[in-house]
Amino acid sequence: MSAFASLPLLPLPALLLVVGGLLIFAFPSRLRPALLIALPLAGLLWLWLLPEGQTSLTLMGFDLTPFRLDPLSRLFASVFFIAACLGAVFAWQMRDPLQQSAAALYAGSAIGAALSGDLLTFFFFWEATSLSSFVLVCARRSEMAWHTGLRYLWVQLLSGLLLLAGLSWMVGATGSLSFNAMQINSPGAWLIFLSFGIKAAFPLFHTWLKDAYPASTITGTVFLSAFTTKLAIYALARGFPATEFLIYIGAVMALFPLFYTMIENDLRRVLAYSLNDQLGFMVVGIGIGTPLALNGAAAHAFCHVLYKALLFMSIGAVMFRTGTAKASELGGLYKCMPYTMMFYFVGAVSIASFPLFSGFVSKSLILSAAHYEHYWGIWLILTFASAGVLFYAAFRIPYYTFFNRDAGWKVKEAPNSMLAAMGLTAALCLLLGIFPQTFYALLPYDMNYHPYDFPHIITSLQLVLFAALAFALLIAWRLFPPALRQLNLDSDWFYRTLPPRIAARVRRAGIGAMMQRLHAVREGAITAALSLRRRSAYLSQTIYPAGAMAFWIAVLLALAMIFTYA
Amino acid sequence: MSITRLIWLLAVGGVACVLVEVIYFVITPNAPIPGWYAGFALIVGAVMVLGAHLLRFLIGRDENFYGRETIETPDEGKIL
Repeated sequence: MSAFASLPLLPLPALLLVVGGLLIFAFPSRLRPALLIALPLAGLLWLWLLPEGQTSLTLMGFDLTPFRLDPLSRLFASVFFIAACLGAVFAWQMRDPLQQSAAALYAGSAIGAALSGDLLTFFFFWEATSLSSFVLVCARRSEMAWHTGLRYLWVQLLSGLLLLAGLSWMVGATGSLSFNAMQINSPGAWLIFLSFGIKAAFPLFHTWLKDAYPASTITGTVFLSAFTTKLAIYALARGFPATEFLIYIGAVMALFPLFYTMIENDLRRVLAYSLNDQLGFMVVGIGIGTPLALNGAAAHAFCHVLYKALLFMSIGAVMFRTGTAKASELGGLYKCMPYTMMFYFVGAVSIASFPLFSGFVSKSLILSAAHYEHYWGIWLILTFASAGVLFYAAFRIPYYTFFNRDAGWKVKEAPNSMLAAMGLTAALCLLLGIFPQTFYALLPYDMNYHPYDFPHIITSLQLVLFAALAFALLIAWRLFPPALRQLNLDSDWFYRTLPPRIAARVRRAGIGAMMQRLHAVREGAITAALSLRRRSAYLSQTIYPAGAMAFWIAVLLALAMIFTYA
Repeated sequence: MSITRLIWLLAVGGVACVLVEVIYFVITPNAPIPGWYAGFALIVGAVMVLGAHLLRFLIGRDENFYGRETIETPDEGKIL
């Protein structure tokens, strides 16, 4: 036992999942689901036996910290283990070894990244999450999944390349690879910030999220919802706390997806936009940067992993029985799937910050932090977003799925394994809401905060009741946007539509004219190269830093991506 | 339950909450203004619905706007 309680050189609890994921093919198919549950449980137990601290080693001249355990990394690693375990229970009936392996690798990589103390180790795990999650996005093995998966992979690899460029720049400038709080005052820090921002789904970089999550399998989406974005939140909390810029980015993130959630037909896409919206709260918390706000961001990430998994599980269970998550095709399922509906509502009231549920105790921290620091505009936006969440999560989705018209579905309740996973997740949402002080004790910073005071409870109740009243009136007056089979444009339009249009226009302009232009461009390039050759500092004699090279590789990758879709 | 009955139920519950808050406001110094959140929730509902209709008008497109790649095959949704 003492061997397990001493600090290992490598993040072994995470590697347990990684190795398990790689070896899972060797096990009989009946044993694999049990293994997928046992591995994260064992890892979680191991994590909590370990004392706080870090281990160091020198590799090729670099001082690395492959394992660091502090309250922040323990909190995120713990919730990743829990999510992996709950996801595995939900996926009990799934028999696809590739997905099982990818899920274990994905969870293990995310935990490894959360436990790494230097940027290089973090980068390796960061990239491992990209590759393993790509497998999950493509796991349906359909044309749609494949196209979506490729788009997803490009974005994730771009994020990885930016991180590599940034860390190369940083090591060149400071000689250190340590992963601690940074100031955005150098190109390296900017590149790292941008890399984290892509995975945290900053505005304009967010479309991979709403694109990929609804394309995955039922179980794949549950795993996907837990790790990538929350790892990015961990990275921002670790690397860029109290960066004021983040407050405004977070406010935009919290606001704009709300309107998409009201008109999207695919309910898993609605949940993906909702995920984006909740990430905004966390980003605001990190940007404010006070102990209360950082605790709020960490707590909200923890609670969000659970209730978002629960929401994806519920809609996944509906999909499993009906084959669709389109609001326009669902309705009246409360008769056939009452337990699924009940668990959905637990997730919905959690995300809507209803008292006694997890979202209430975590979101309150961020709102209070904004209030205490006098960010009144931001507080108002977050309050608006809190009320807005009610309209899609607590009213729109259940209305179109379980109530509304009877769409004629005569289906069975979700399988027991799915109900068990939903039940366990719902119980955790409730426990966190009922015992907030126990939960707060796990947070990275000491604080004295009591979410359950009279004004807070009564105002929350008012918000819920009057939002429900507004929804009921809007439905009765037929003003609420109906569920329609349609697609809504987002910023992915720029890379999904614009390059093909430009390519088509070029083709229409005529090959001959294009060849003439290309010839002129080539002549110009040769002339320019000859003039450069006459200079003493010729290109090949110049030494370029690794950061600059990685940056240009990232640019080339982006260009390649654009031309691929052209 | 009919929608009219639901509306009445929510309205009565909501007004009861506001009344409790008014009492709290009277007996407690520095209490929040009663009914602020109630009004705010109604405004949020109106803004969200208006915004959603406007957004749908501006960016709503045919389901197959991006071509074949967005079309789900039958029963694809049931894949675990």
